[in-house]
Amino acid sequence: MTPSQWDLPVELCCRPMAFVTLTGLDVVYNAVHRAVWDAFCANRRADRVPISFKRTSYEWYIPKGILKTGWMNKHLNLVPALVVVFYELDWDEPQWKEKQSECATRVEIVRQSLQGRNTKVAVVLIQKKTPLPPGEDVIASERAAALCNACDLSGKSLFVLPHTDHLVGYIIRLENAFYEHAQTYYYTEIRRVKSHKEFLNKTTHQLLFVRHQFKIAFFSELKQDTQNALKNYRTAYNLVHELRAHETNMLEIKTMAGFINYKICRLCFQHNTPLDAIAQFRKHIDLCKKKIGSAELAFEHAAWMSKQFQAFGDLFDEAIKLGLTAIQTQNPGFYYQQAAYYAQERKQLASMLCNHDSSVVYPNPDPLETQTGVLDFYGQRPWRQGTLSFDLSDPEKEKMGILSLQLKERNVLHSELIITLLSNAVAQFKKYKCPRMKSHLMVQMGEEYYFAKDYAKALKLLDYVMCEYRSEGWWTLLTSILTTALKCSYLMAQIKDYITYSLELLGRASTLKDDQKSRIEKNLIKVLMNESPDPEPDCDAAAVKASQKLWSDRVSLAGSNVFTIEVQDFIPFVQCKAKFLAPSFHVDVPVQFDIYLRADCPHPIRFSKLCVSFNNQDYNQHCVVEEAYQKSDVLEQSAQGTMCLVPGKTRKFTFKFVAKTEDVGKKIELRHEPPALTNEMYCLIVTIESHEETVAKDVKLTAGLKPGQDANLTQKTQVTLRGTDTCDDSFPALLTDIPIGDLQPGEKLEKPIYIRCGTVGARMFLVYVSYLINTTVEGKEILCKCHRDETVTIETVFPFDVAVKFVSTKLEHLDRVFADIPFLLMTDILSASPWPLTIVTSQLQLSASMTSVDQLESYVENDLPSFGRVRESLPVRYHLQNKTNLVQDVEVSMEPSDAFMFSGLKQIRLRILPDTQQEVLYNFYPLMAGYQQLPSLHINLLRFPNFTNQLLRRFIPTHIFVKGYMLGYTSMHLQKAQRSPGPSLPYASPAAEPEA
Amino acid sequence: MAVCIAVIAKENYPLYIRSVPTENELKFHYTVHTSLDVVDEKISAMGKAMVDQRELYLGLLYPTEDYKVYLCNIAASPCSHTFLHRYGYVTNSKVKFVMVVDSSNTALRDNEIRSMFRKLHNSYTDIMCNPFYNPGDRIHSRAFDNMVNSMMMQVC
Amino acid sequence: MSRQAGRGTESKKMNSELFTLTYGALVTQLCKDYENDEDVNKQLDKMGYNIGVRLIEDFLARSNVGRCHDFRETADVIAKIAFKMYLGITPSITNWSPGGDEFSLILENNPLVDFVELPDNHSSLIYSNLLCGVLRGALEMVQMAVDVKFVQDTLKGDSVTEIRMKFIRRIEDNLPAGEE
Repeated sequence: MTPSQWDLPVELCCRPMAFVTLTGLDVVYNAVHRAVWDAFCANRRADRVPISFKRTSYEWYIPKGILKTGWMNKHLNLVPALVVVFYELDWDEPQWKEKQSECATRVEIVRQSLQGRNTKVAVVLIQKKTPLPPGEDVIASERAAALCNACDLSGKSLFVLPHTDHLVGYIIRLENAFYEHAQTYYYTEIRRVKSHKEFLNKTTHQLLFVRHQFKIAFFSELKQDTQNALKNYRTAYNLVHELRAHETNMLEIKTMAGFINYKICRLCFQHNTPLDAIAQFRKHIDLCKKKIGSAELAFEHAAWMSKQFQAFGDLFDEAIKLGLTAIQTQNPGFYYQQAAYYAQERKQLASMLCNHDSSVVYPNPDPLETQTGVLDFYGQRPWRQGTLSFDLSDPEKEKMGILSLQLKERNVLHSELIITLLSNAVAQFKKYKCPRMKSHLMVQMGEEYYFAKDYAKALKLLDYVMCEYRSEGWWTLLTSILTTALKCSYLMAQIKDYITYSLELLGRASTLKDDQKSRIEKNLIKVLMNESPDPEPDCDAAAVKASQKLWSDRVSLAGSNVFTIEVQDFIPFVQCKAKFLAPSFHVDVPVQFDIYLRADCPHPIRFSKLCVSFNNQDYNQHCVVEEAYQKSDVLEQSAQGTMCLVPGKTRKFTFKFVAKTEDVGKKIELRHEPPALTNEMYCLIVTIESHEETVAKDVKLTAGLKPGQDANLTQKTQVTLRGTDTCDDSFPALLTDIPIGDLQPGEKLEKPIYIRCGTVGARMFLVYVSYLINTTVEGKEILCKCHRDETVTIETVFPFDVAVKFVSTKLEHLDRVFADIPFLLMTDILSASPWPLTIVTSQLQLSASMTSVDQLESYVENDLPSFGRVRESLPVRYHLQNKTNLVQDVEVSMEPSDAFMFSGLKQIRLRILPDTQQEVLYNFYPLMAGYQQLPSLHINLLRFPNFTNQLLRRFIPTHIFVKGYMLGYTSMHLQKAQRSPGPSLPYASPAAEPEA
Repeated sequence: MAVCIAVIAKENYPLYIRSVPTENELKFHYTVHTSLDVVDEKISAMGKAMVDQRELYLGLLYPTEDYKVYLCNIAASPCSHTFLHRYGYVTNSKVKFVMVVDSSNTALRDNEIRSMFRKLHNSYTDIMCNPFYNPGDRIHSRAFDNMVNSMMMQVC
Repeated sequence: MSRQAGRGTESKKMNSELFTLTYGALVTQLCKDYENDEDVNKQLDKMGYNIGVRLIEDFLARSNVGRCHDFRETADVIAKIAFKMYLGITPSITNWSPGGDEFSLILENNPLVDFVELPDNHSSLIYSNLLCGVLRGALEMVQMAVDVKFVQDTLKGDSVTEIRMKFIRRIEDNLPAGEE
């Protein structure tokens, strides 16, 4: 967009950075100087200080006096905070004195051209040699002091820059020093401005209070002290609104308020306090929105308001790009929307206020021209700059000024501005999930394009947006959009669109009144009769004229104007319903089919043809109604013509035709007991019952896996008619055309089919019966080929589940098995079938892949009887096997148990030779009956301390069941015990558990 | 006082919209329609939060709205400034009520808005009990009209 | 009568809204089934009649009123006992004809029409016509032939609902009542 008077000046919008000027660098002819300059300017990373560098030669001009519109620019770009003089001079320079003097001269020239400003001056000596550490080079320090003296510089203002490898490092250090100097400069400037305050009084110097506050804030920004900057801008803002306001200075006040508001909002966003920014903006709008100023220039106010919203929207959007999160109800979209709204207002006001007759001439001399080409002060009128009085000294001049502004406003492309703003808003609302807001704005955009006479774009937008409103059923809104769309299509003479929109506007969803619908219907008929329609109301006169020409061109192309319009996506003015009289018909009874039509338009309408399209195209010819009539009869109500639809009345059209013979069927029944088990010869019984009245001849049956399913299923499915033999993979998945023979009327036939499914899952099976039948239809005898099919889904499951587990001889779970050591393999078979299964045989097969098994170092076997008896000797022999090829030293010990006495070695150390075994014999004497803990055998392999008793426990039983005495003896004994607790018998326990 | 009252079906089409006669009716339709964005968002947020879903008073739909929806009657003398607030309310059958209120003259408190919605809800329930009313149809009821009239702004 | 003992004058409680909605569903279904309002009115009257001829038994058992000596007594019984018992309202009796054979029942509110608004295309529908049938049928069973009709209806905009009852004659012959 070309810059307009309303755009915020660029010096306001940029981020103020300290301004430092570097002189004495000859970048054209001196490579070293070039390198230094580049190191300052090129590739500045974000962690470097915010300085803006300018390079100048000695002579530059600083404008005298204070030009307000140039003030910001001055301090950003013209008056530096610091001037740095670069001079090549090494400490060991032979011609030191001359060089020093030359350098001093250069510094003096700079000082003079600064003309009393407080800009700081510094000197950088470009040197070839690396400086020595401080304190070491006596000559350097002497000469440095002398140079400072000669140039009247403080020691802090003299630097050296050795042109060596670490150039960038030195540069960065220099920069930081420059930055400090710059900050000091701005700080001083702030104090200087503040000191002016003493000389001001509130009544006469109101403007200056604002000016000074603004300057302080701006300098704070340059100093990068954003907190203070914000504080001062806020003060400045409040002061602006305290100014005495009048129509004549309203624009200046608003302009300054706008600038300061912009700064405040931006700083708030920068400080990550977006709510403050929003609050400030709201306050700004509240205070300014009624300050319209001169009524004849009300459009200016609208333009200014629009700009405020747009600028804030931009700031908000920028903050979001830098990480702020916006939400559905607070996002930049609203601000762009309001900006667009005000731009629309601007357009309307402009059309009212700037509507001068073409005879009115632009004033000469141009009141908007100034001597310098720019304004002296922001927001003032060019023809009365610098006037503080509210009264107009020259009303005539004022009139001319206003006229010139109004005439200039006429050339503004308002629609373009509005559309851009709306489009920004649309993008935002799309992002923040406000689809309806987006649609609403798109409608506004479409309407704006319409006003801008870009009918094609308008139509594109409106067409897109129509679907949304249609699908949500907001007919009022849809009607309004359609009306505009109709206008567009009229003005472009786009016949098909014109007709389509008319169809919908005449329908029952349209909320137009009858008189409008009537007008549209008449126009529609005109178009269909190859005449130009009447213009749509409220269209631009020139556009109407142009379109009338287009229409007459179009209609003269009569003959090629046939349009096919799909109406299923909207509600046209004719309702149509179709139905068959019954869901099915016998082959010798004609099919009856009704169509109902009803018109919702205001006037009767006549159609020339009705036809129906079936999925079997052959039937189409039976369902056509056609009639020809005179052009003049179109809107006349006709008594005879069946194709004339009277609004509100439903008309029925009946069609009868005979169905083709292929489309007839009859009854098949399928019986089976799902689910099927894998590899079962599953029986599917097909029962065919004839409902025909004559013989069904040549009945053929096709049965099997429905084609079109997964290839794996096809491979693993076999079908046969014989259930006695198991089929292998060579059998097909589908048996075709099995001859059945003839079927008498009413006869039932059963045919079993056997299916074998090799894998689990669902399979679709198809049973298809075809036959021939003689029948009479409308006097003719024909041979009908009929068929009927049924599908059934059969689920196949595994018949049973086998689970296998490894256990030790003690029936304990095993993780590992070892060589030569017996273990048990237990299988669990779980039936998954709904019916009982008889397992005939089973087999355990070794798998093809085998892994080796570890050897245990030792193994203990024992032959323990299954039970013992109280007071009966129980001999147990333990066989200790050495499974290694080394001699084993074994420590064997037996731990006693309360339930037993035993004889045998309580503790012994053995030596067992490789691959041999040793026997240890014990004699246990059970003392108590019941499930008793045996004395436990402990083995310690001295060479293999890892061989623990845990492992041993697997092989050696820990308990044994001990039976009591003979029953009779026990009870006698118990009886005795109960009567008198006499001395207890030596070996029996009184509370013995009898035999289980 | 309300300047526009609307009853919206579960599928988001209007069952009833009534607005103050002097203002541009179309603008109000758009106002109500666009506020459904926020209503939908709030409903789905409530759904996720598993909040007890009895009557949901949604409150002010666009919290910082006072100058956002700005109506200006250009034909008349310089702009009549209006502050429009939109309030929403959802029943647990997902029927929505939207009310647009002009708060430039009187600041309506939250209680007052809530009680207006309750009244609306009760009247709506009465309509549902009318055997001649088919749920999903547009609402044509004198009783409902009267109730809405009582809540609308008096415009002379 | 054996059932007398079991019946008190108290009715079992039922939700009145359910009753109103049921009646409303009935009327709207009739409107859908019959093309015009007159037919619907006739059907409602018939249905009311069939209810009335049965309801009278229940009424007499519960209320234990004796034979009425004149039409005025009948009016009182209808308004103060019958309406109260079955609809929970007590209409007022007004507009007696000079001959004492006609009177009006004024219903301030009619529970059948809670929430009902007549749409424009049913302007001649007598929504509560069932009541007329009920009264006619019930009184026929106690040997009174009456003519009952609505003359005012709040649904049609009137301020009250008014039912006009006119005594036609005493039914002397004890013929079994015909069901319509």
